Amino acid sequence: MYIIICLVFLLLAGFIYFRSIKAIKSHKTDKISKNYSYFAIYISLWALLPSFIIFFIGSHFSNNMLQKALISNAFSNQSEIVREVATAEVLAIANELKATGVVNVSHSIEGIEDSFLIELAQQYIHYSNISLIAFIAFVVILVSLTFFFMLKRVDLSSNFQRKIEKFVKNILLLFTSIAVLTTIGIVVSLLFETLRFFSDISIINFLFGTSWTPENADFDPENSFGIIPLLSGTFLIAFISVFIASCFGVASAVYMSEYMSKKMRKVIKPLIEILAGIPSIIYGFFAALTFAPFLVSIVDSVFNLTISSESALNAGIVMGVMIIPLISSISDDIISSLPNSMREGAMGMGSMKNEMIRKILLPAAMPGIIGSILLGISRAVGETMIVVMAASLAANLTLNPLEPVTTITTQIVMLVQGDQEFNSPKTLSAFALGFVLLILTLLLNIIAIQIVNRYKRKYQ
Amino acid sequence: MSNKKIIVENVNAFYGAKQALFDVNLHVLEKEVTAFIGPSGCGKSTFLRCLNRMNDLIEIFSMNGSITIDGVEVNSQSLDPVELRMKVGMVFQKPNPFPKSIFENVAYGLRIHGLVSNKKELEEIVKDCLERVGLLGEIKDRLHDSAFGLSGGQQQRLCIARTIAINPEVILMDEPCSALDPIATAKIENLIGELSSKYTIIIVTHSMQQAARVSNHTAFFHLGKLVEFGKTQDIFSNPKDKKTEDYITGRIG
Amino acid sequence: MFEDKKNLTKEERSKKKLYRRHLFEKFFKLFGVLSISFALIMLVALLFSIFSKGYTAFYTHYLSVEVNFSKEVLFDGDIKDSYTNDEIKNAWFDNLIVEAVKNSLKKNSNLDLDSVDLNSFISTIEVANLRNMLLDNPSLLNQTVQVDLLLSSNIDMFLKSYIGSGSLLNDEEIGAIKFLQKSGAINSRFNTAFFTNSDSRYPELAGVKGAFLGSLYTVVLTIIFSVIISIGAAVYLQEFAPKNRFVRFIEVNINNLAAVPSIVFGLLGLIVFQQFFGVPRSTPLLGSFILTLMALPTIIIASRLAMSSVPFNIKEAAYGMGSSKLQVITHHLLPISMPGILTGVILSISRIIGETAPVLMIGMVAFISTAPTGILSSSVVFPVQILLWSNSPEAGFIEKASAASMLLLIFLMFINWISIYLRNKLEVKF
Repeated sequence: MYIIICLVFLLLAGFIYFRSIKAIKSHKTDKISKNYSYFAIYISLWALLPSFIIFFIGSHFSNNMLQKALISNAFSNQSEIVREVATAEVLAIANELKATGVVNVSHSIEGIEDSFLIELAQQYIHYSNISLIAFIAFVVILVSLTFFFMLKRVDLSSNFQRKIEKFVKNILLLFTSIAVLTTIGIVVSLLFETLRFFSDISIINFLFGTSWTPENADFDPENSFGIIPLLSGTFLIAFISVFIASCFGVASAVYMSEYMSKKMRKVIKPLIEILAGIPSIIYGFFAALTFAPFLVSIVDSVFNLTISSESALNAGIVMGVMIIPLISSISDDIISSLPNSMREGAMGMGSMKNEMIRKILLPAAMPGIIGSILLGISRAVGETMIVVMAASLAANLTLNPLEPVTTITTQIVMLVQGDQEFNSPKTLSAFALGFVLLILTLLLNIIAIQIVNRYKRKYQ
Repeated sequence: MSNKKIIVENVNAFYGAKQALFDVNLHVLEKEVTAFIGPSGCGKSTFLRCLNRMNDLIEIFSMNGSITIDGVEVNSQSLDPVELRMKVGMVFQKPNPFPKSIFENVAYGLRIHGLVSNKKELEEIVKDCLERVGLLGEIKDRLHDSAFGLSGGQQQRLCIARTIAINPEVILMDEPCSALDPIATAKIENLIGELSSKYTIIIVTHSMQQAARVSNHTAFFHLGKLVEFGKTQDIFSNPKDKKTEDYITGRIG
Repeated sequence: MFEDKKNLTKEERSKKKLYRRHLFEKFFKLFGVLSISFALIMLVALLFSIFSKGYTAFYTHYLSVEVNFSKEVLFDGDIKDSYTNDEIKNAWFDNLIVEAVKNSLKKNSNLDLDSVDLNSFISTIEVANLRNMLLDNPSLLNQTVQVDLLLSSNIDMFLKSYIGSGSLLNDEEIGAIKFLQKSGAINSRFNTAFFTNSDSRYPELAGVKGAFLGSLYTVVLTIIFSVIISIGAAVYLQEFAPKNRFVRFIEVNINNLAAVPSIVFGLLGLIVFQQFFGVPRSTPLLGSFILTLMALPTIIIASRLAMSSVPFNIKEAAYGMGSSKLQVITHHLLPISMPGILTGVILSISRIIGETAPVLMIGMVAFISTAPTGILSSSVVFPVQILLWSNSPEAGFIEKASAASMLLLIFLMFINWISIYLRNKLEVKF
């Protein structure tokens, strides 16, 4: 770190140096002195930024290269695992040596002498110091060169304030494009890994297979990755949750906007919105440890049915509670925004409030409400923590809400959390599932936003 | 006779496909007050905003023709609008002080253009500008209070003080009194009279009486066309064009 | 009903129907009330279940006993005048503890001490504590000292009468605990270990410090990255961007990004940042990259909304004074829209703090018993710590998970309160 600070200091010194030169020169021209500080900022921006980027990228890569060249080569006759362990050990020794100055071998490796490890560590420190110094020297030279080149070439009469604005504008454009790059990154990386997965497993078996047993992947890969049970589980839970959320969400929205006094509404609405602010991990915790036993005992004693403690119903109900505020707040906005003339027209004909709501308001608000329900489904399909904690791991192909089911998100978490072999179809299948999830949620979302927007245009 | 400060030749202006100004030709004399009058929507504000390129902020706007100030073409790509607006200040229809203190409002322009080198000088100029718009006596002890606490008339005078602080050569005023009561209006009109000894002032107004009271020259716009331009006295006592006469006598407007 | 043609039946029918209509209206209203009550009841149930299970984690029980540092027990009969430090280090301190507990139980003669697992009464940390005590002060040998020993989680849970905790103990053990409780040897104290320790294999020693620091590093980095990038992007889109198809595409893109499930961001981080760019796994740095991308859309949308509410005449005034675009932005646009931007930042950060799924993907889920020392050391974050503890079978960890959830909820509510407060306080009125 101190090196970077030194560098900044050096460049700042150059910056000040520059300003003073310009201050002297300013006697000759009639431009106002403010322009010279812009000039200095402009030049230092150009001198600093490329060098900084080169420094950071370069030092990162040079360390990696050094590591490969020096340490891995020394153990080239060993097996891969030993090489990895030895490399890690040498780096650990080197770090300790740098920090405390004491040599300490904490894990001896069979077949390699401790003194050899220490020697390597010392060499590593030696060479990395040299490369660092070389880099600093390189950067300093580069900065000075750009500096003097700019000094010679830059037209003093041009408008530097404007040039800086352009510079900033381009940096802001760069920031903006990060959002696009993220999307591209998501799509390309998932697509790439998915295609790798499909080079092992046929896409037909993946999309239409009815058994999901990645634990059998080693002896029967073609029939272990059928997504149908996952889809049925995901949509079963999503259906239960959205059913609950839309019944209760729309009803509370109607009651809040049409029946409740303003004062009461001011208290109740934020309370319901607290539900949206609770992290899903806490919902999951609640579902797994409190709600599941409660549900098991209720279903057992009242309906005399057996229900699994990892049932779809359990996860679905708790997820439904989480989605209520999403649906109720969008519906509430939409119902409240309907013109009052609609209400007056219906009420003036002697209809009851509920008739006015059912026959006039709800049909008018229906597209928006459907949009919000689709958004709710999209949330439910992508929700992870509740199902990781409350749903099952076994992929049962069933539509019975009392039985345990698993979901796409649960399986992704399970597959990626295990061993990190990026070549096995087991890990790759997680990315294929992620890709399916992405497409599902995006489709739902685009349709939902289209519906809500079209509705908005109609009434506003 | 003073020199021609601003010369306008064949200016046409457009909002998208809609033409707002048709072939305007006129000139503004140095250290005089020129008034633009006309019914609303006649293009007088649009024309005023061409003079310091405020229309650059509107994306669909475009214009052609030539406007020169002291012989410098306003619309040339090489001229930085920032530099232009330092020279050609503007006061808007609704008082629009920044959400800062009274002092900071006036100091703002001085700061961004680097016109002062130390704090003492800054304070002196700010106080001097407030004095010149007659505001200093009224608000001496609340210099660091929010500018929003001032009355509408005071806010507008503050905006004028803010404009003259950077010492422009031309001041554009876009209906500066339309949001003010008669007493505040009278104060501003007096101020315009005083300022005209130092600055070239162009004022857009919908009040003919105001134009008659404050200006030396008057231009009458109608439907985007410059109908008549001449000495204020001549326009009001002896209009040459039928439309001007109709407007002054209240038949159109 | 008015289209009914027979005059007589019309009134009757209408009246009859009116009664039914009123009844239905009542049911309709009732359903609305029920829906709201359902949501509120679930909220209360959730908060109650977490708080009632969690608050006990903030205190813990100690057993006050007389410990006799007898050479006989410590060195297994190898009695000398003095011992080296190494000998003391390897001495039988666990036997010492068993003896001490046994002594305090002996006063109650009807207990069958053979079926009591005295080894499991006291937390393992006390072995190290007593050892250090003796190393610091070797003159304690053969002396008797009154010491408070931390009880193990099983006993602690039983004393707190936690659900399911009794089944791990046999009747004799329960009798022994009840006796100790009656004799006043057990006292309860504030559980400082919960705040000063990191994760542990032993519930009574587990604490949130590591998770707190992990979250702190991650969130601070996320705030720095996301605020800079998203305000920059918002300024560009609001002030600089031409109205062309590319910019329109970016806008649609940002809206869609807000709807991508969080777990997909985790996969992105795994492939792009960890595999491709080689950012070290399980670290706050890697976590903050992913969370930054997740926070971007929310902050950009909120910032743009705040910026678009800045009155045009303020900008106009500034341009009229000869400000450049950058000056208008930094002097006027950003300061005036700051409260709105701040609210957006705080809201999206409060979502980020509770976010679990994406950080699971990049391995911030391992058992780590030391607090992270920097942005490049392996760590867990707060919500993941809740997950880890709630997956453990021991009741002591469930209690810890509830307590951690409690802290998380209280913190998030506090943050939301701050955002409302700041918005009201800083808002510029025009």
